[in-house]
Amino acid sequence: MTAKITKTDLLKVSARLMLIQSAWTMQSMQSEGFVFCLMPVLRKLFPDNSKLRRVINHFHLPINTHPFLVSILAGSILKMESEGQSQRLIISYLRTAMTALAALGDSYFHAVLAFSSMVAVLATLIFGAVAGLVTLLVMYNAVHFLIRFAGIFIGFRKGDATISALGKWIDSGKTKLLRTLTGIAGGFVISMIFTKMAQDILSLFWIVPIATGLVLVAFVLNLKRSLWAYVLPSFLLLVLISEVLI
Amino acid sequence: MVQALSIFAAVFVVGAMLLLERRCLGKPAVVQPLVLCLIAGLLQGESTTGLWLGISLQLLSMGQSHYCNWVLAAITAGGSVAILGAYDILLVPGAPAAVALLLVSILVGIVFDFIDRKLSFSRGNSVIAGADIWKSESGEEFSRLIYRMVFRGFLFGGMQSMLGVGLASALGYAMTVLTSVQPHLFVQQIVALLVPLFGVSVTLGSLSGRVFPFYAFIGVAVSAGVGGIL
Repeated sequence: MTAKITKTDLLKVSARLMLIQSAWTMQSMQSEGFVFCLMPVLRKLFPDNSKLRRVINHFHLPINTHPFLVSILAGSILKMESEGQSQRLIISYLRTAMTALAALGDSYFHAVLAFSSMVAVLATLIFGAVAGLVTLLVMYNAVHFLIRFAGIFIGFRKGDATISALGKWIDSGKTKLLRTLTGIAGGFVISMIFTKMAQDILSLFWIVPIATGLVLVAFVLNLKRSLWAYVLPSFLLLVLISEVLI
Repeated sequence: MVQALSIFAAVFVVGAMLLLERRCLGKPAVVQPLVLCLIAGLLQGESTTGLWLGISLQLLSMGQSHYCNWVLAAITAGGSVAILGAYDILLVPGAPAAVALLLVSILVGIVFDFIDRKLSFSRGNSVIAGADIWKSESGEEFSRLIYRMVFRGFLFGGMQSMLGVGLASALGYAMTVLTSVQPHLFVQQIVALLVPLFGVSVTLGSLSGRVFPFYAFIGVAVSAGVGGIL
């Protein structure tokens, strides 16, 4: 229990977290992957095999959280294990934190970061395809890798206070505001590009009805989200058949 | 023959490596459809087609991360652009060959996503339950299991990529041959415009809360206003 955890140990865990979902199943979800990732530090903290086996069994429950934010969870759990906190407290914290991080991660990475990166890509495409490519890779992955590699250190420093600290940076209000701003910026950029693309083949008269139709289709897809999987392939197939036949 | 075999070997290795990111990490970070298709397009001097395929798949993938393996769809589209380009087959956005690539990419993504889910229910569970690693003394079994699953994912991903790219390239080639007599340019332009626009609708429709598409519509209105002023 007295072993000192170094930055290298935490970085090893961080690198292993890249493989967190490799053994994902419906029964245990990420639990086998989570133990695999923590192993370098757990083995250092508990050199005795019987103790190590007991600690490993703390994680014998379905673990499922956001794969980018899991480093924060791993850091705080390792801190709690290194302080020798009780099994009950660790499991209770694990259950609460993984749910909170999953909710935060999904709304932040999926609805805000991915969408705002795409808006930025569309806006930079006027400088060429390579500019768009670089924008997408840099904007999305700068945040992703920062959280992935810094997360474990934040988690290890804050321990079981991590989630409340994290809530100050990413909360639902800020996420909602960012989503609203991104929505407006997205509508603006997309319609500007569409106007530029369409002006050679369609008269300006058609642009407003098409933009309105686009938003209406979005409403329908919002009601039934799996609809695209039938609509788009059917449309493409129809185009191909008509091209061959006509 | 040797050239075809070496192309498919390359597709197997590259596709398997790219699919590992999604399989192991769960959320694609570097392997985005726009990145893969654009790189394939730039390599073959067909950046417009790469961009069209990439943007369409990227918008769809942002809207719907369920129901489709978008990394595989992007590998299929990007790989086919590279292969058809190597055989000097010209791809034009909205033209039948490019539409065929997009269609096969999406269908391959949907089918293999379904198969992956089924396998993780049945085979994945049985492999992990059979390993019985929670009773291990040293914890070494966890490492062995993960490396075994990564290797399995590599092989499975490679085969998926080869199948997807093979199908898409074959259909793309067939469409080029079948429709080369009289291209319908107006239809091609409309299709080239409609597919990314549908992607925009899918993305907007996925924003949680039914009020968010309204915000996008505000942006559209502002843009119309700016356009009117200019």
